[in-house]
Amino acid sequence: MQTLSIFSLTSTHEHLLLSSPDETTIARLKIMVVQSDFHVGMINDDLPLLANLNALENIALGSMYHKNMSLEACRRKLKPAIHLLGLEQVMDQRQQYLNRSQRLKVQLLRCLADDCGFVLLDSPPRSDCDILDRALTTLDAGVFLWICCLSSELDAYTSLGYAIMDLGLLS
Amino acid sequence: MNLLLVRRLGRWGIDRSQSFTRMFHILCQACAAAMRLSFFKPAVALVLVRQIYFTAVQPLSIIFVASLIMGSVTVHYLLQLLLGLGAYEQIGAFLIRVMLHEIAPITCSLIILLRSGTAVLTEVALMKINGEIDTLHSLNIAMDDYVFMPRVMAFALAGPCLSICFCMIALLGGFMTLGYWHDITFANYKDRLFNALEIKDLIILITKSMVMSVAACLVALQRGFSVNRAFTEVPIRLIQGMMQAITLLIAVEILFIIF
Repeated sequence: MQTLSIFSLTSTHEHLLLSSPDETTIARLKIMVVQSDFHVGMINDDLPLLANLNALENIALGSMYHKNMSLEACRRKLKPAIHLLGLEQVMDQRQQYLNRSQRLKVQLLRCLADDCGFVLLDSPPRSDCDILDRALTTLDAGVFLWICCLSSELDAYTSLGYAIMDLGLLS
Repeated sequence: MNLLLVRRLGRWGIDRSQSFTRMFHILCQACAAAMRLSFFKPAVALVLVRQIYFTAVQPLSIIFVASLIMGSVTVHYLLQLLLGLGAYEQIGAFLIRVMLHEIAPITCSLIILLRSGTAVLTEVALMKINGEIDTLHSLNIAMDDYVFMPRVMAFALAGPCLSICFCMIALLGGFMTLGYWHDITFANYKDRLFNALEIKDLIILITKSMVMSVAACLVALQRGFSVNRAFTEVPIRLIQGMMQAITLLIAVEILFIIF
């Protein structure tokens, strides 16, 4: 039987809809994503923006820590993306003052700043998928969405037109 | 009955030793992060600067008022007492000892504990409850670099700096407000203070206030991290943390008196 790994997922280079028969497999996928070196970011309510940093500092945090980039250098690097997503006005706002759409876009930019080529969403509301799908289309940055959900909830996402993969084969 | 007592005592001992072990562990991690010079990383430097500003700069106004009031009262009563006893020569030594060894480090540590200690405990607890600690893990950011070291360093810096400010304002401002009532000129008073001041006094002031501030910070971090998932735990941990910190400050005071 063919098995599924993070490598096989990353090699597809397309938006994916990952269906799983149970929560355990999704949890296993998330652990594999965190532990892997494939630059897979995660957007999730369980991984919120830091409340005592503004939007730009949240986006730049990973780069400032791992690449020793200054905040200003990060701002310059991400300026086109920030402009395309229309977030210039909220860059100095803290997450409490952002609406849902702005928060998701800031989380997406955080993944982009960390050079993630893939972004994993765990059973997101359908409206979140639409916001992020539109944002990625606008950015055209070669970043792909992976939406994982239970098989029973798959119908809510099929209209996105993403390729469907069964996580039951996850090795 | 006896078995129950032993059990409770045992549980109390284990809980207490575990919290001290965790505090020691946090201190070691913070020191290791400082040794790695992680404060040069822009992300860590940003937190460090903010913590120093919040812990060492913002309380300056409170320190100014507190030191002026306490300095005035101390200088007034000590001058009244010593001049009444005719112990004119002892004025400098007494004031230096009282202010540098006792009043300044204890008052500053209490202000730091009540102001910044509570803030750190609540902040860390809320970070944990809101999942921000998980965010840091997912970004592969080390707790010791980003959470522990900047706070411990800010407290270690704030304690001695605020204590030195406290002493200067209390000893000089104290004389300006109430000291001139007594039969001693400012020049004479100043000479007596500087003649009595020794390096040993400054070392005690710096060491004591640093140890007390760091102890307050460690308690706040340890108690903040001991919160699990409920907001209702925060006030409980806060009360426990404050009581433990005050106990630790008393223990440090006793240790300094003994040694």
